Amino acid sequence: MNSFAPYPPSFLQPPLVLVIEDSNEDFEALDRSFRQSSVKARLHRTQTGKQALDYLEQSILAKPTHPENVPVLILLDLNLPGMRGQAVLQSIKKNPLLSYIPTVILTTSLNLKDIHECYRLGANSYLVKKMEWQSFRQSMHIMIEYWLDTATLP
Amino acid sequence: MILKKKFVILILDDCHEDLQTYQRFLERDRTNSYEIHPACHAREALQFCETQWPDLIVLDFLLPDLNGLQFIDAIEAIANGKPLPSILVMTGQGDEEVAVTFMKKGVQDYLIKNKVTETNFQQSVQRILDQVQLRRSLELQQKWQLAISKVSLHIRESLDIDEILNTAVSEAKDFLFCDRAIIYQFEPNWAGNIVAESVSPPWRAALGENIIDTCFEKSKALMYAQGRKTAIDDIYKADLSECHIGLLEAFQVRASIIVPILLPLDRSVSLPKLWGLLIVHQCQNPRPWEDAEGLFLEQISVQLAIGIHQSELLQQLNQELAQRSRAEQRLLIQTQIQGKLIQDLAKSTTLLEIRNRDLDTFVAFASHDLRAPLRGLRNLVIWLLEDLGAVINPELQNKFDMMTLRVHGMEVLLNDLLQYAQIGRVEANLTTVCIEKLLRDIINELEIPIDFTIHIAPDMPNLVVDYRALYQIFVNLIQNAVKHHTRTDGRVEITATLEGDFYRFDIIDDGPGILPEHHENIFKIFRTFGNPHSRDNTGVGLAIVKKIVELQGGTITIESNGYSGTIFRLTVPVSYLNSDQSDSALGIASDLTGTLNTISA
Repeated sequence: MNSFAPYPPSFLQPPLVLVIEDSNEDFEALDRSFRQSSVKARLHRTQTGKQALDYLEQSILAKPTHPENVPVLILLDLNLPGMRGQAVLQSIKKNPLLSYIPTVILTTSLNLKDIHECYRLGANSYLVKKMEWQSFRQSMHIMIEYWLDTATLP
Repeated sequence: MILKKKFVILILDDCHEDLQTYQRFLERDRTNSYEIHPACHAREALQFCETQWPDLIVLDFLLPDLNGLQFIDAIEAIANGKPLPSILVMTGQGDEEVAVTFMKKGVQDYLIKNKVTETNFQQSVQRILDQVQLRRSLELQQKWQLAISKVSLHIRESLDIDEILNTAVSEAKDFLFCDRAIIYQFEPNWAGNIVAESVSPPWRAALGENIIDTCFEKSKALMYAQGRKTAIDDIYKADLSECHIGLLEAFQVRASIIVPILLPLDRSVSLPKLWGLLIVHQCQNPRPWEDAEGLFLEQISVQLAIGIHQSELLQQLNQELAQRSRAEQRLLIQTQIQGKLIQDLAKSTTLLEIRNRDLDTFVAFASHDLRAPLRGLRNLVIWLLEDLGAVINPELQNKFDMMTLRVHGMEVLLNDLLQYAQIGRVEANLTTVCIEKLLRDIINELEIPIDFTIHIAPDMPNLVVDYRALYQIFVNLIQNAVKHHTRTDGRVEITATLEGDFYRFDIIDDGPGILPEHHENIFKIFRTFGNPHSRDNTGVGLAIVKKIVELQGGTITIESNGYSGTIFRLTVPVSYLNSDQSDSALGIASDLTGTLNTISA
């Protein structure tokens, strides 16, 4: 673990990750992967894009007093009820208050069009969910360790 | 009758001696015979004229009741449009002036009474009657011409054969004043039918009689075919066979004229076609026919032939038109049927397109929406086991295993179903495939018990086929043979034989076999005859195999008695499209086989 913790010791809370995922099973798989990871993190889940954007807005407003509620990483599913994942991504990346937060796409879609579109809209990474649990967990661990441990975040 | 009629001569003289003298002169004429009627008074003569019109009147100039000129006026008065009889006037000596007056009145000749001799009297009568004869034949000819024109007009106005024939017989009979006129039409065997008749009562009608003429002479036929006619004045003097006379007697015939009806040249035969005969009959009495009467009939026959020919042509034309119309109708019906077929086809195609779209939708649904919950289910089992950790008891573990197994089975089934639905929906990719290499690839990929033998015959061909299709066929068949085997040391043999345009592959195993009563159902989807609880046994495999085989244009059959092994017999058509290519590929492939053998050795 990095000895130079990015957060003041007063918070002593693990970093917050916003997960936008409508499927309970997929969230369970993700949550389980986080729990089984060596890198600790808190998860905040919303099931729709709208809820996610609302949360982000409120947390940014409350940042001066509660910086711990602003996510350091966003995990976004593309196949969402209502607002599409791409639209959520676009809203985040167009908002100067939010655009700095790394946003990782987590989806089952291997569609080249989706991949291109997401990177063009400013996605920081695009991960295809593995079918097998073991492989899924493995790829999630790599992702968690990279973004929350290896990479230096703003 | 008209021409040979005896001339009627009326002699009018009040002097009885003179009357007898003239009568004697005429009776003594050896070259002519006359019908002589003597009269002493003009009144008597006029009475006679009212009953019979004389051809010649020998007229005495001086009569007790009327003079000669007055008599001529009286004759003119009762002539009623008839041409006046010729007149020979007898005058006295010195009455030449009177004679001139008579000549001016149209009298033909005069003789001076006391200078009359038998010779000059006979000559004078002869000369006058010659003129009469001449005038009469001219008139007759005009009448004939008229009659022939009338007949031809009738014939040409009509294209109806019956009308033509009836006109001809009716005109011929009326014009020749005979008793019967018939038209006889030949049948191919010289028999024939009376097809038209005009007959005067009381003579028997012959119409419609079929005459099987056993006494018809073939030489006569030839004669008729050459266009020659026959005139018989009296059947008893015409040297006819008794048989022929009998036939004629049956119709009361005594005299006849027979004229052939010859149709215009038939294209296929050099002679004109003898269509039939135009016949006129005189019944009861013999009749000395005139040449002119025969000629008249010949002209009628020519007109008849034209009429018949035209009518036959018309009939033929009508038949052809009818045939053509029928053909056109058939064509129309066929076109309609074709149109309907095309419509049906279009409908089916549309339906098929709709079904294909439905299937696409289903495949998309199945591949995502059915798979996702299965994956979730599987993960949940794993997570439960993870969460329970070491506290799990064996009984619970067993139930979790069963659950995992079932979920896995469901995934396999789903994959099989998707595969089955997608067969033929992906375009075939034809390449030259080395079958031996294909089989070895399959064997390497399958989990085969270590003691199990799979033997590939050495003469495997190279075929231009869809690699994926053939892979699926063989992988299923080999997998089945291994999976359903009761022993782990079983044996499967694969052989190939060229049979005409097909390669036959036999996949022979020494497993438990399949009972013959199951053979029919084994290729149907969801039919499985092994252990229903066993892994991966979905009952879709052989249905997939059959579908793919048939899509490649081949067949698959099964041979098994149900207790000692099974042979799956598979045929794959040899593609000749790239025969050169496949030949060269064969060369490469045999090298490859050699290499493979070396590797396996």
